[in-house]
Amino acid sequence: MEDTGRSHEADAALAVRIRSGDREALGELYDRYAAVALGVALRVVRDRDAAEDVVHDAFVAVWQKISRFDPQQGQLRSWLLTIVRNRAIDRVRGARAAEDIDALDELGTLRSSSNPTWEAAVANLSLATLRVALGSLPGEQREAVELAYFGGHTYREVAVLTGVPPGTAAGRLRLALAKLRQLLIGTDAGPAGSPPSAEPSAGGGPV
Amino acid sequence: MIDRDPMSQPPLDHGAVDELAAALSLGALDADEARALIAHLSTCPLPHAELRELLGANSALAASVEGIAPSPGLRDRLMATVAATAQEAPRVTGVPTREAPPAPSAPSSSFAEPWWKSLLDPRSAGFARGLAAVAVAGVIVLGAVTISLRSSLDARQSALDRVASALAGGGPAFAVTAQTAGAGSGYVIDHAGQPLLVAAVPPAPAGRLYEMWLLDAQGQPVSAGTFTITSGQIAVVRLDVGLTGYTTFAITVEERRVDAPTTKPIIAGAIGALGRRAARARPRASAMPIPLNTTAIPTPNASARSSPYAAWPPATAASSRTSAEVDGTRPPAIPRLMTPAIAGPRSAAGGCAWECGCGCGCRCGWSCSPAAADAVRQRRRQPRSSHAPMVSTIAPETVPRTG
Repeated sequence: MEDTGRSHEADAALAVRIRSGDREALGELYDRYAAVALGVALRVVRDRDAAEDVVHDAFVAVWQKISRFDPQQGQLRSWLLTIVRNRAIDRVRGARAAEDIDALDELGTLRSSSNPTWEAAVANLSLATLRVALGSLPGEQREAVELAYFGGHTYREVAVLTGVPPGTAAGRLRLALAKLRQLLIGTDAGPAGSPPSAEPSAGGGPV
Repeated sequence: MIDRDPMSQPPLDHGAVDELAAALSLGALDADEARALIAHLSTCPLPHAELRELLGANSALAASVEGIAPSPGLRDRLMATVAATAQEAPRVTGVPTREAPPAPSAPSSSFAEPWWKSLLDPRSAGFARGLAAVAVAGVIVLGAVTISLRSSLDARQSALDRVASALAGGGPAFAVTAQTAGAGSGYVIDHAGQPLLVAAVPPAPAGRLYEMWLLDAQGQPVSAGTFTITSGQIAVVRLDVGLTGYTTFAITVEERRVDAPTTKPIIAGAIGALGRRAARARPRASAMPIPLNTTAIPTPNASARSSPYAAWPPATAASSRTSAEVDGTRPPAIPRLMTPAIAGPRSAAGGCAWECGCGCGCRCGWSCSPAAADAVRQRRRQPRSSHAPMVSTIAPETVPRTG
């Protein structure tokens, strides 16, 4: 696993270079994150060619909109992946495209500008650990999270799809994320940037 | 933070904010709900600790997906697109820009201050809310409103940024900058769908006034209104004309309101994405592009190329350039609409999902360059950004009338 602090530092430096119009820096960002971006895109659109188009468009958007990104406020990786997800959802679900994609990116900036604790934890955990944690969620919570994040549905749509009131759907998302936080970060999360001391006690559950 | 349409969103109470925290984190709120939530946070004195803890969880979801190596050609395709794609100018959002940018290697800050406080300059929160009230009350749309300020340059720039940030509410904006020494600067912002000029400019010479202009890709100017200002004030002026279909904003000094500028611009800015964004918001009658062959401005020669503003200002006329334009020369006017490369798909909103205006029947007012048409052929399927709207290269007299 890559050292978190160094990774953030390198990303912040890349962001500054991209902002200054350095195309090679965007290429380096691509080399770093194209694979994970394609993974996320493919998970949403489920078509290889379409997913590559999404990745292409997302990196172009990063290039165009880098002036909106504040390295002190968020992680470049998070921001990129939010843009990837927005475009992937836009691709498969025209309906939500009625919302301006720029507005969605803007909100994504805010979402990824939140809490470095998650980033720090995620960067230090293995894929398997993350999957075990997700798998350990109760089925209805995992379903809600998947529909919301990978399906691109709002919690109100999740409610309709799963046949529960909107408040219940929102509550499932809340419980799911709280549980993930407990598993991945622990309740006594340290200050920003300090890596978690131990692997979570990933208790059972199917993967 | 000001919402674009405050009337459409009921205020959220604290409990609702916490209940929706996870949905916000996962991007599972519609845009209006998300904005309402963020609006709440921008003024709420409570820490909302749970929300803060859940934000960022989306990164765990993204990281649970296995990476897949892209096709070898994707990187080259990306770099080719990027080489022909302009970057957005810094916009007016969040913390005013007067502060120096953070050092690239600075470690992430701790949560000494809630993150959302940065949506507004803390020093100006009350100020911003006051402005919001003014704007909502409709005072601003009556015409030029000026706000008295201390006259020091720093204070003026700071106030300018605060006013623009507050009125734009994080929405789209572009900078306008001096074309002559000491002319001042500012922003044109999208305030609840209306373009507003927010500018710190010196008073016009005695007996003169400032006139605002919108120029299309051919350099044809249309007056967007006039204003005057006294020393030590910031102008907040509504434009008479929407930005759709225009590429450049400019201000000239005139003796009275005129139909065509008689002097060189003192301030200008590239409308760029904001003009295109408006085009994408259709269908909305008021957002229809102004026809390219607007004839309100009599020019000595009917050809747009001969307009005194046709080639002006070369540096700002097009923030989104076709590959034919990146070398700094305008391509020759194309005497007819391009043959559509592929019929454009319809978006959910009924407009052209490609937004290309390549002749596929979308009537979005844009037109393709040969390079853009080539890009379509190469990519075959794909909507959106690799085929972004291009600055029109159609001579006005050759544009067929639609409807």
